[in-house]
Amino acid sequence: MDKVLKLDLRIPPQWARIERVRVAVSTCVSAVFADTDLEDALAMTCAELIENAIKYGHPSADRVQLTLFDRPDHVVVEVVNTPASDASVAALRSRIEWIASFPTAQDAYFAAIAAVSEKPEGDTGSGLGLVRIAYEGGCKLSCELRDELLVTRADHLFGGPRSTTG
Amino acid sequence: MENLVAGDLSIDVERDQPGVLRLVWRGKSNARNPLQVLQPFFAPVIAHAAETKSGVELQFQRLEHFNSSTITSIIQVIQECRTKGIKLAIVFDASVKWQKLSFDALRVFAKPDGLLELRPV
Repeated sequence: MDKVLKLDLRIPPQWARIERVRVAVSTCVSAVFADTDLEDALAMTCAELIENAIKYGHPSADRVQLTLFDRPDHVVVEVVNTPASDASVAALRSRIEWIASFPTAQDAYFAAIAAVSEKPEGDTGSGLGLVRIAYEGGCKLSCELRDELLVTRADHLFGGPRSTTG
Repeated sequence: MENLVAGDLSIDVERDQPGVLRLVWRGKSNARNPLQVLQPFFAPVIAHAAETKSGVELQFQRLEHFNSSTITSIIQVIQECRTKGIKLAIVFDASVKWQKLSFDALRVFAKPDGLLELRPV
């Protein structure tokens, strides 16, 4: 029997919704693949991407869209939102390029957490979400603007190496 | 020092072993700004540990999930403990992949002073 994973959710950009989506993704991935590690990786990836969409999205946006679907050798997570500004899109692109500049996602993650320790006290932005998706989620990240909406995509390769360049 | 209950997260303070303050994390740490919740909780814990020359043990085995902002708070606890010369142990479930990946990575903060111990169980 072919296994099929396909989720398409549109949610209000409210923080309290994130945990519900994380649990829903976890449950669906578990139902289809019965793989706890994959379940945790994809649920975390969805939660972190939606957190970013809410934190850095346009304040008047009324929705965030999450799409999750599988392909023969990987799972795709896409989050679509209205960006707050051109600067927020540029910052996202720059962070993804920074992660890809490391030989492995682990190298990028170690560098990112070391950088957190050098931030001034009171700086609450961790900047760890995307690099965690690459390292712990085993995903290759990309983003694009589509009709003025920001699409952030994470491709999780089944059993693939944790490479930032995919 | 009181236990912490904040949203889906609870942290119990256990003092059943002399010289060690054991903090048992349960549930999920998914607040938008975990630092706001965790900093006021950890300040007296760290002050007490420094005063009594106790070690601090963070137990994460029962934690189901945390967001990346929580990692920042944990890194701050590591730094605060080191500054005050407090021995800190981080205990996690190495059979759970997300825990192993997240907590193993904190070894970048381990130094020859031995103040930070990562303890997979």
